[in-house]
Amino acid sequence: MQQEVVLAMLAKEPSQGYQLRARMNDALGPLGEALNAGQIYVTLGRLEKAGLVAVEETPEATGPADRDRKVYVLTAAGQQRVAEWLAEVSWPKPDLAEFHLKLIAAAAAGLADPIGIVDAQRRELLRRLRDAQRAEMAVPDGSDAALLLEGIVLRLQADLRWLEACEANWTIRRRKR
Amino acid sequence: MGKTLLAYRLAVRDLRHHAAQAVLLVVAIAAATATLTMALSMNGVTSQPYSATKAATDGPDVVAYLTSSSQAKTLVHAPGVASSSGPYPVVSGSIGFDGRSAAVFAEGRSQAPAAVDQPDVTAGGWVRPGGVVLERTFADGLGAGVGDVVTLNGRRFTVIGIAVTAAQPPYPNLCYFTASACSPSFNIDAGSPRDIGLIWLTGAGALGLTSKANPLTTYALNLKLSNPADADSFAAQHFVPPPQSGGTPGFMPPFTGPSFSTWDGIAAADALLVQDAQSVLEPGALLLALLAIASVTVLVGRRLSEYARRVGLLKAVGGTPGAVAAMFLAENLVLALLAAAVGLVAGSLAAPLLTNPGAALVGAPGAPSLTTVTALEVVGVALAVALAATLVPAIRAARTSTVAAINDVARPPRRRGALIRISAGLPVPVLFGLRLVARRPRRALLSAANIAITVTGIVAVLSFHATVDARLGAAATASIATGGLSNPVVTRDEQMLTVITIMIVVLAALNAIFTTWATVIDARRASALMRALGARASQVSSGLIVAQVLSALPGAIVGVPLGIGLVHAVIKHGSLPPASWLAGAVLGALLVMAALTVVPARLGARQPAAGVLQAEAA
Amino acid sequence: MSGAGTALLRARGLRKDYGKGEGLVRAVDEVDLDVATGETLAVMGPSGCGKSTLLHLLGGLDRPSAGELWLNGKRTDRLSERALAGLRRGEIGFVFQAFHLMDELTARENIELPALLAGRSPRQARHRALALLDQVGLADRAGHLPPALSGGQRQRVAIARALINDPLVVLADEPTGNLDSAATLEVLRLFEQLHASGLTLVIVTHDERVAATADRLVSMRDGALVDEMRLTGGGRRSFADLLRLEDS
Repeated sequence: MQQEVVLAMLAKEPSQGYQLRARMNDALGPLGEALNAGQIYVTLGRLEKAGLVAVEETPEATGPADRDRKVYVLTAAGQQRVAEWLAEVSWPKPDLAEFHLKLIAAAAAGLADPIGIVDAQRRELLRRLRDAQRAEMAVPDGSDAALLLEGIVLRLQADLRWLEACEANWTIRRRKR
Repeated sequence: MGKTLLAYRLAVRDLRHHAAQAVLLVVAIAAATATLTMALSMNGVTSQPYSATKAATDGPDVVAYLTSSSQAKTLVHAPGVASSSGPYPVVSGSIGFDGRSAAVFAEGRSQAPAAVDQPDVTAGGWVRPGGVVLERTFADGLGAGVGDVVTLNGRRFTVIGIAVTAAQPPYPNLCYFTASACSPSFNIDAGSPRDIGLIWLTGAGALGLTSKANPLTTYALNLKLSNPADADSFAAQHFVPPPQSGGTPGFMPPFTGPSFSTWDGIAAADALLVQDAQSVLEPGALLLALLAIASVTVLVGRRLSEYARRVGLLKAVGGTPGAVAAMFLAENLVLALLAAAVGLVAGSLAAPLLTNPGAALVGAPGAPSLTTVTALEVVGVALAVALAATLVPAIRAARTSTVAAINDVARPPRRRGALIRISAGLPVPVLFGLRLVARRPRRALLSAANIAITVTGIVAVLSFHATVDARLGAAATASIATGGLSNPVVTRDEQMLTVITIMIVVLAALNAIFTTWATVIDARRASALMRALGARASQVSSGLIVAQVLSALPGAIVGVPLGIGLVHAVIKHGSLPPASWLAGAVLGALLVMAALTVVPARLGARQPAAGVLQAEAA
Repeated sequence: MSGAGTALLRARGLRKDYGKGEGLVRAVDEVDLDVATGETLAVMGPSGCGKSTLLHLLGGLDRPSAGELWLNGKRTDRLSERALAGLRRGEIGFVFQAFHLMDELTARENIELPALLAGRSPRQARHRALALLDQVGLADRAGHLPPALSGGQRQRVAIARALINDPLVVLADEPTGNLDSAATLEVLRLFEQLHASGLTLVIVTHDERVAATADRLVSMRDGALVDEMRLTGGGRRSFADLLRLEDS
C-alpha cells in the first residue's frame, strides 16, 4: 500500500487507524477485503518515522486495542508531500486502485479538482501513446520491438479509456453536488 | 399452430405497414381480372337475346332468297315446313339523311302482321305508305330516329318506326344470299357487300324503288320448320348452286334458284359481334395481365430485402425454408384473391356496358353469364399472376442463409468494365446514368419490360385505329358507300378499345411510377455518395433520368413490333399506323418516364448526403 | 500557434438543430473552432456527442442552423448547394468510417471518380489516381475490386480518393472505426505521411490511438466543445524511456 495514499486519506481530518481503514474499505468496495488489516498500521508507523505524520494520544479514544487509541494527524511536511503527490503524473505499475483513491481523497479533502487530475493524467498518457506509436511506426513491422511497442500502445489505450470513464463519472458527480 | 399464428400476425402487421403497396398490388391485379372477366363473360352472351328476339318476332328457322316468286310454292309445301311468310320483294337502294348516305336493302312488307318474322317494333309503328321502318342498329349508325325525314333513291320518306328482327344479323353484318358469308366486319375484303342497312317499306313502296337500272334484287321467303334442327339439311337439300361462269358482277351472284340462310348461321353471325369484342378484349386482358405481373414484380421486389430479414428471423426461430417461402407466397396470394374478387365484380358490372350486341337484339344481356367456370378461370389467372411474380423472390428469400438474411447482405452490384470505361469521358449525368444501369441490370430489364408492355398496348391501339380507318376508307371506295355512317360494331369496338387503352395507360402509369420510385430509392446510396464527392444535385437528378431513359429505350422500341404483331395476329389484313404515330408513341413513353423520375429524384437530392450515407451504412 | 489570421478553417457559433419545439435536439451547440494550415486536429467525444455532425457541417455535407464558417478566408455556410458541391469537389476531401467505395469499381476507378466529376479528362484522372495508389502503397492493387481488399486497404483507397483533387483539408469521420489494430496502424502511418507533407487534417474519432497522432485534440460533449489539449511539444522521450515505462 503506497504511503502517499494513507497520507492523503489523513488530509481530510485527523483520524484513528480503524477509521482510516473504514474509509478505504468504502472507497475500494469488495476489493477492500483484499487489504491486510494490519497493513495500514505498518504504513502509519513508517510515516511517523519519516516525520510526515504525528500521533496524538487521546485518553478518551476507545477501541479494541491499544493502537486504536492513537489519533494520527498530518505534519506540515506531510501536507506538503500530499500536495506534491496529488500533482504528480508519473504512471506507476497499473495500480488503478491507487489512482482511484487519489481522486477520492482529493475530492474528500477539497485539495484538488479530481477532473483536473484526470485531465492532466490523460494528457500525459496521450503524449506517451503518441511517442510509443511513433516509435512503433519507425521500427520494422513484425519485429520484436514492434510487438513490445504495440503492447505498450494498447495498454496505454486501455488506460486512457478508463480515464475517460473517470472523467465522465466525476463530471456527473460534480453535477449532482 | 403457434407458427401459423405468428406467421399470420407478421403478415397482418406487414400489410398494415405497407398498406399502400398492398392496395396497389390489388389494383394492378384487379384491373387485369376485370378485363378478363369482361372478355370471358361475353361467351354466349348473345345466345339468349338472339333466342329472345327470335321468340318475340316469330323468327324464321330458314330464310330463302328466291330469284323468282314462283320458287316460293315448292318451298312452302316442302316436307318439314310448318309455316311461312313472304315472299317479300327486296330492292337495293340508297338512303340519305343529314348529309350521310348508305346502301340499303328495302324489304317490302304488308301492314298486317306476318306469321313468320314479324319484326318487333321498339319505337314508332310498322310500315305504312310514305313511311320507312329502320333496323335498330342501322338506325343508330345512320343517326336517324322516328319522325326524321330521309331520302330513298331520291324520294322522301318519313321514318315511322324502329324494329329488330331475327331473320338477319344486325347491321353491319348483313348477310344476304348465304349465311357463310357472314363474318366480323373488319375481316372482309374491301369491296364485298357489307355495311348495308336493312329497312322495311310497304310492298308498293319497295317496288317503287325499282327502275330499269335497279331491278328487284331478290325475294325473301321466311320459313318455320317443324323441327328447327333440320334447318341445315333443309337448306342443303333445296339449294340450287349458281352456274360456274357468266353472270354480272355486283351484288347478286347469278343464282338461278333459291339460296338459304339458316337460324344457326344467323345466331353465329350475331355471336360474331361478340367475338369482335372478345378479339379486342382478350389481347387487352393479356396486356393488362402482363402489366399486372410487371407491377407486382416491382412492388414485391422492392420489399425483398425486408422479406429477407423477416425470413432470417423466422428461420432463426425454427421455420423451415419451405414454411418461410409458403408464408411469403400466402400473403401475396391472399391479396391476389381479394383482387380477383374485386375484378370479378367490376368486370361483371362493366360487361353490359360493352355488350350491346347490336341494339338489334331484344333485351340487354343482363349480368353476362358469370358462370362458375368463368369465375374460376379469373381467380386462377389472378393467383397465377401473383405466383409468377413472387415465386422467384420467395424461393430466393427462403434459400439465403439465415445469417446473411438477418444481416441483410445486399446483392452486390454488377461490374461492366467496358461501360465504366466508356462513361468516364462523358458528362457527369451520362456517366452516372450509364453506371447506374450497368450496376443493376435486372432492374433495368424490368424497367424495359414494363415500358415494352405499355408501348405494345399503345401501338396495338394505334394499329387498330389505323386498320379501322383503312377499312372504312376501302369500303368507301367500293361500290357501296358507307357515306359517313358510324359502323356500330367498329364504334363499339373502338369504345371498348378506348376503355382498355385507358386501363392500360392507368396501369402503365402506376407501373411507371413504381419503377421510377424504385430506381431512385435503389440508387440512393450511390446518389448520396456522388453528391458527397462533389457532383451537383442537378447532375445527380439528371443522371437518374438518363438511367431511366436508357433502360426504357430498348423496351419502347421493342414494344412497336410487338404491338403491331398483336393486332395483326387478331385481325387479318390489319394496317400499319403511320410512322409518325409510332415515333410519337415511343418518344411519349420515354418523356413520361423521364418526367416521372424528376419528382423522386429531386426529393431525394434535398436530403443531406451525409445522413443518407450513414443510414445506408447502418 | 494558429492565430486567427492563419486559420484555414474557422467556425464561429456553429449550431445544428434537429426537430422542433418539444422534440428539438441540438446536435452542435455554439461551437467555435480554428484549424490552422498544416495542422492535424482530432475531435473526440462519446457517441452521440455531435462530433460527426460537426464534421459534416465543416465539410459542407450538411447546413448549419446558425453560425458562420470560413474556409481559406471565404464564407461557406451560406453557399448554394451548387457551390457546396464545388467545394467538395475541390477544396475538401472527405473520408468516411464505412469507406463508401463503389463495389463495382476497381480501386483505381474509385479514386478517379472525384476527378471525373471535377471535369478532368479520363487520362488525367487515371494518371493522378495511379500516382496516389503508389503514395498510399497500393500500386499493385489498382485493378482490384473493394470486396477483394482488406479493411485497411479499402480505407487507404478512400483516403486516396479524398486526395485526388488536391484538397486544402481532409476531413475524416471515424476513419479507423471499422478497422482492427493492424489496419489502424496502416491508416495512421498514412496520416502521418500526409501530415508531414503539409496536409491539413481534421479527424473525428473515439480511438485514442488516432487522437494521439494529432497536434491538437478537442473534446466534445453534448454538442459543445469542452476541452482542448495540445499534444505537440513537451519534448520527445527516448526510446529507452518508453521501454522502462512499466518499471516506474
